[in-house]
Amino acid sequence: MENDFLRIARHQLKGPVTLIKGYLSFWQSDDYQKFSPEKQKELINKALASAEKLNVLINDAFLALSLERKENLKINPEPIQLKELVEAIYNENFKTSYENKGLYFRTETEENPPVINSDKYYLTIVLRKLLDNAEKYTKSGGITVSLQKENKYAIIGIKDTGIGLTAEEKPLLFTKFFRGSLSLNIAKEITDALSGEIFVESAGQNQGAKFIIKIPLTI
Amino acid sequence: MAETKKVKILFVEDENLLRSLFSDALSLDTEFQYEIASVASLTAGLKAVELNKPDVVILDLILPLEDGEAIPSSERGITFIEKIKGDPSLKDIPIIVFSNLDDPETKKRAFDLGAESYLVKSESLPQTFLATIKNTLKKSLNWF
Repeated sequence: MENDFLRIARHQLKGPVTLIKGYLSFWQSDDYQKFSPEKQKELINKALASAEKLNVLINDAFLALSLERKENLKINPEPIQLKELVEAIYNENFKTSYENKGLYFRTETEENPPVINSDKYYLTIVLRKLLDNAEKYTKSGGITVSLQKENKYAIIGIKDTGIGLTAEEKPLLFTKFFRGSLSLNIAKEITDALSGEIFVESAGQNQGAKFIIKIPLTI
Repeated sequence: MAETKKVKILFVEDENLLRSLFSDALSLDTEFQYEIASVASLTAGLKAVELNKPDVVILDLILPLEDGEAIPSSERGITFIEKIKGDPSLKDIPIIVFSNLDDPETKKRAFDLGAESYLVKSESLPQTFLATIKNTLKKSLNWF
């Protein structure tokens, strides 16, 4: 399994490296002068975007490995107002890209939004992975995050209007490198570590998907 | 054909950013004018070769899975070479493999089946890519 992991991770990390080297080589060889100023700017932006992609891939690969080995996973509980957290994550990381794609973002909550005692750092990673995943697979429509309490759990629903899941894909969803990514595997491993559960509902292809996270009100 | 110096290139590659980087590199060349077509799967690639008869094919070996397929991923690229080189009307179209796979066995198989050249993506700068394409074209079309 780990050999597979290393093989795929190595392969994936090379993608953005090839791009960064390629873009920079235009500058090294002075070829960049043959491009228009607009094109030059576009190329530099693509190199930067590739570096950022590499950054995410490296973080994800090391995080997935350390989660698998249960290393360095120290849970530090603190009170978290879920609606505030979700909105802060959205505003800081996703607002621009969602708006650029023309996607709506809504939150639905009870009158008193759930406050939980859990690890903010890790819960933030889970929510970021799921909002990122929802954006990636949604071309039109948008994403609705619902927050409610049920017995001793907070229930976070992240519903998109995207490409959905086939019956064959469902059991593979949280495995490493599903659709080439570690995001959902990381979300599942962390949710487990927070004594929670994560699962998905989808009526099928192009029917959207809803991820549901159950997190104990107090860990 | 040498007079027009126009060449048709077919990219069989599913990574858009990579394709666009190397298309930008081709746009810098002053010797030839490249007409670039691109497809992202084995089936679409085979169809495009038959229809458009490109002057050269740039082939990624690891292509997306298609309906009902379960064969290991790099086999799709290998199958592509096998089919093109096994067809008398298409076998003279040069194929440049452009892959992240850098193991000797895969390279050997690609060459044994008739691929003209093999570039490892992460070791290829746009300039080497351009030079390989031009050399392959010149050799295959006996322009010089």
